[in-house]
Amino acid sequence: MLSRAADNLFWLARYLERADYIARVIDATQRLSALPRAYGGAATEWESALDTAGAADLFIDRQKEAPIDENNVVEFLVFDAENPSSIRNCIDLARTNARAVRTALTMEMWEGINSAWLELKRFEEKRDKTCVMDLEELGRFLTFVKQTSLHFDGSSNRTMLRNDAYWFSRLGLYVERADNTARILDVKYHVLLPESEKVGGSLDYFQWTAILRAVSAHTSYHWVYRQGIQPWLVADLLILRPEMPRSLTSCYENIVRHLDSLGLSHGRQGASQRLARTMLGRLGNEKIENVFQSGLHEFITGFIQDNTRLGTAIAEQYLM
Amino acid sequence: MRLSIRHATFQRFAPAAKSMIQSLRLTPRNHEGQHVVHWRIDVDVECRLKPSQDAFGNVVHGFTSYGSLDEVAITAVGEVDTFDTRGVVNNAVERFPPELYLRSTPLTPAGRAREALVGAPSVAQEKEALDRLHALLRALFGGPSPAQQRQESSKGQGEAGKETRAEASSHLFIACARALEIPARYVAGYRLDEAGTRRDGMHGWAEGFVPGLGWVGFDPEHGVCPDDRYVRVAIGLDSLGARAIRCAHSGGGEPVTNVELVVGECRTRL
Amino acid sequence: MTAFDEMTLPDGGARAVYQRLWRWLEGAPSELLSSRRSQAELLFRRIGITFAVYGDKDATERLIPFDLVPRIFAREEWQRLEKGLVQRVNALNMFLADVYGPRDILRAGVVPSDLVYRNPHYRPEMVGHKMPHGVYVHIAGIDIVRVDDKDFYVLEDNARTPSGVSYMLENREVMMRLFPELFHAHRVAPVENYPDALLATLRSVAPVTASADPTVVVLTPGQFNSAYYEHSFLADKLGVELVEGRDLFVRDDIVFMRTTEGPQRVDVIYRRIDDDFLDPLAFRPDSALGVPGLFGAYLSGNVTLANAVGTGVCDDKAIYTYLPEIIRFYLGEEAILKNVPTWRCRDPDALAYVLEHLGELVVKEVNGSGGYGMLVGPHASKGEIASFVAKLNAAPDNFVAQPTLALSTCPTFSESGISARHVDFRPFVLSGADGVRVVPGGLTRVAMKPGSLVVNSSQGGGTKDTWVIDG
Repeated sequence: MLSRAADNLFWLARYLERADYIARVIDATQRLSALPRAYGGAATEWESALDTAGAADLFIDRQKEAPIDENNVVEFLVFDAENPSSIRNCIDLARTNARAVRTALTMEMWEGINSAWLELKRFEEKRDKTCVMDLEELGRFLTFVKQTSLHFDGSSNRTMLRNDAYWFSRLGLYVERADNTARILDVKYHVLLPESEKVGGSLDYFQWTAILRAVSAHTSYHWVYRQGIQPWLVADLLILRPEMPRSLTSCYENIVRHLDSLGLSHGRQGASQRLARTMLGRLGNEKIENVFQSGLHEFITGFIQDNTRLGTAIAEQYLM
Repeated sequence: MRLSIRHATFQRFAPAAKSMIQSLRLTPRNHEGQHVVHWRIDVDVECRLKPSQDAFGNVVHGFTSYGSLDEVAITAVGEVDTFDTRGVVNNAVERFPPELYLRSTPLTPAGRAREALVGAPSVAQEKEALDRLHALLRALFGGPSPAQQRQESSKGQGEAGKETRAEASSHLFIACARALEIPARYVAGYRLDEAGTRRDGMHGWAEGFVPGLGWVGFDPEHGVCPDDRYVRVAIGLDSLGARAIRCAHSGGGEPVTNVELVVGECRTRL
Repeated sequence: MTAFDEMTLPDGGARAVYQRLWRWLEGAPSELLSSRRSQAELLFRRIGITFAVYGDKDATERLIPFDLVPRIFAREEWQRLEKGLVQRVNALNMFLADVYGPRDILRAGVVPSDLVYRNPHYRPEMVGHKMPHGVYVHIAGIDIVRVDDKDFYVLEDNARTPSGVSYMLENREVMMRLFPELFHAHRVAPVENYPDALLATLRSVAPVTASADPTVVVLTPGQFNSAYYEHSFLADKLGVELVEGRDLFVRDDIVFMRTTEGPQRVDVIYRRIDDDFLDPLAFRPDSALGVPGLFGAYLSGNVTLANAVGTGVCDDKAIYTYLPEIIRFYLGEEAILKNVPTWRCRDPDALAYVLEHLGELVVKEVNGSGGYGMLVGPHASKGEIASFVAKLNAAPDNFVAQPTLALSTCPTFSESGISARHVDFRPFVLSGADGVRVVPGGLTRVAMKPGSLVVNSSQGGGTKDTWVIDG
């Protein structure tokens, strides 16, 4: 397969995954910020949403003195054309990438992406007329974004041939997903630390559920642990549990599997296979107690760097 | 006269380029006005220099190179014996009938030539091609004429994509000759300049075709016909076709190019 | 001016070849046609979806009007046309091999040498390099018109990167779904093997250094090119990669494409990029679409470009006027397909005639295409005519003039039912190592406005399916 086409597929999947993640972050933040202060609802929630989306610096650059409140942040994360990771841009870029590799996609996938893009245009038009998006409309929009990625995921799973095209789009999805999960942990790690109980007490409970919601793991948590929400278990679920589809371990299981398929089909392996296996091995040998002992923050920062390194390795080995 | 030439081009890429491909028109050939005593081209990156000839008979060296390329030096060094033929070029490699050199190119547009010729009525009064070409040289490039002043204002433009003074005046000369139905072409080469002149690239001039005489050189920048201070290297329909170095690269930044060019006269050994 | 109608005879009956269609149309209620037309729209969106449903403003690209009523040739007519096309394309290839080789035709004075040497599409760089099997124009689109039931006239030759073949294939696909009963009654010669024939042609001209299984690619300027959907459609049908310039690179005069499995050698490039943009090292240095070093690899014989570089010298409107002489010179035959009588404005007598009769002539720019830079005398305003007088006097060499032809008409489905509209025709001619092939069909373009002679899609023309049937 042409390297450029593989690159398009890789990024197509990454952008849709990112759009989904940002929609979930907004969702979770809305719930949190709607709580009375006594329950942990705080004015800093939207700032932390920006952090979680990795867009805080850009926001400050662009918006200057604008207050970091719900309206401004949602606008920035959803519709701002200047924010490369806004949901709008993610869907737009996903479609541009899809168009460039139109023949490598199945009809179902293309239709899904194209109609999502058309739907986005409709939302934008409506919003341009009224200049604001009321909460109800925003809710509809966020649901639409989540459904788009579900459709993409499902249609590629059901209709794609298992060859380069499929593997690269899956790789893009899991590399992005690992990055997203790690980022939310990175922003919220302080509420997961044992000492934080002293600071906020169990009020952090709502923070923990917000994290779980952002990675759609609220229900899964109870199925896995069958007990009340404990911060170290939240970290365990998102980092180490292989059965949790957004955990770092699960992402890397998938990354390793798809890189292996590639290596097998090409009869050749390289730096990306080696790096991915090393990372999966490390995650597999880890215990959550040790992670807390040696520093959750350090662990996550290290992981984000390694994950970025893997993205570069894949690009160098296959996509250039 | 024996001329010694050293023409070094340094390309710096920051960040480093990942690969590059270049074609070099840097090798003079013999004709009655010049004899190449020796000539060598060096490129200081790992590559295979592949010689060939282009459609006009110019010697072309091509190479591709890979790896982290931050600086490339391309050096042409040699000595050439030259003879004053009063601009006439005999026994050079000719691949096309002179007629081909009547076509205009984007760099030698007919429109600008017609404008310039309106301001030089003396040219059309001449009957013979040779007289017309000389009249053209005098009228447009003999003194501070409007055409020359225009070029003065663009002096020092040696950047990629912009014409040097030699190129601009030659292109105008060529376009005018063609507008008068005289075949004309561009020549890239070297010139032994007066002491103290600085050049940041090759010189260029024009040649016009005169029935019965053949190709005759005209140097519009200096308002003279080439003599034994000139070395012809490559010809083309315009300067693009005769360009010394054409380079494309992938990865890295746009190259910054520096040229060190020394043309000197060899003293006879005692 | 009454034009020859390909279906209806002056007495109101139908020509033999259209009998069955005529009767069917007589019996078909117009609601049926309307509903089939909306089905056709839907089908185009669905089939077209494989490459072109953009659903946004880009979609105007695809929405070239499609007319339901097929245009029909009898097999005998087609055979005559085919023979003429083969003859013509052979002559074009021989002409190109000659002007880039020994130049016999110029020495013989058959074609004035300045038409070649001063032609901007003549590439001196190509001189002295022989193309594999002497083929320069691997894919030609020859524009044909009729004015009566006997002769075919060539309107122009397209020897660079002729487009439109995707419409031929798609229109047929849609027609077969919509009108199975008509196909059942007619025995229409198939066109669906065109992609196979094209691939065979491209593989046959692979360089000698290529492997036994040469790699073919389609080179496109990219997704913002107006014909991108056709490029991607063809690559898909051929089963080859659709590449952009940046997907290719040249190393030591060999062309490679960047794939996920590492560099893969490329042997044949069906390029849909103009000469000027192919290689910034050889042609326009500002081209970002091309591949640096491609031309060097090409001249070294390590890759075949289809069509060859420099074919534009044979398809401009000035050389066109010499085609009968060119055919005679190389083949010793008379041209089977006629040329439209043409005044070469470079000739003072012709110019004088043209200036006097501008109101009844069509004046074309020698290097123009797509219906631009053209004066249609009978439809032109005084101002337009005056501006052409000035243009002609300033640069007569740039123009030729032709009589306004009464292009034939074909039945076409319009607002007011079936009515006659002017048409032209572009068959696609493939030349490879093993000879010349023409798939029995092509692109019929139709002027959708009553009386209009302009069939160009850029100016509101539509397309039809074209049938070759046993009489």
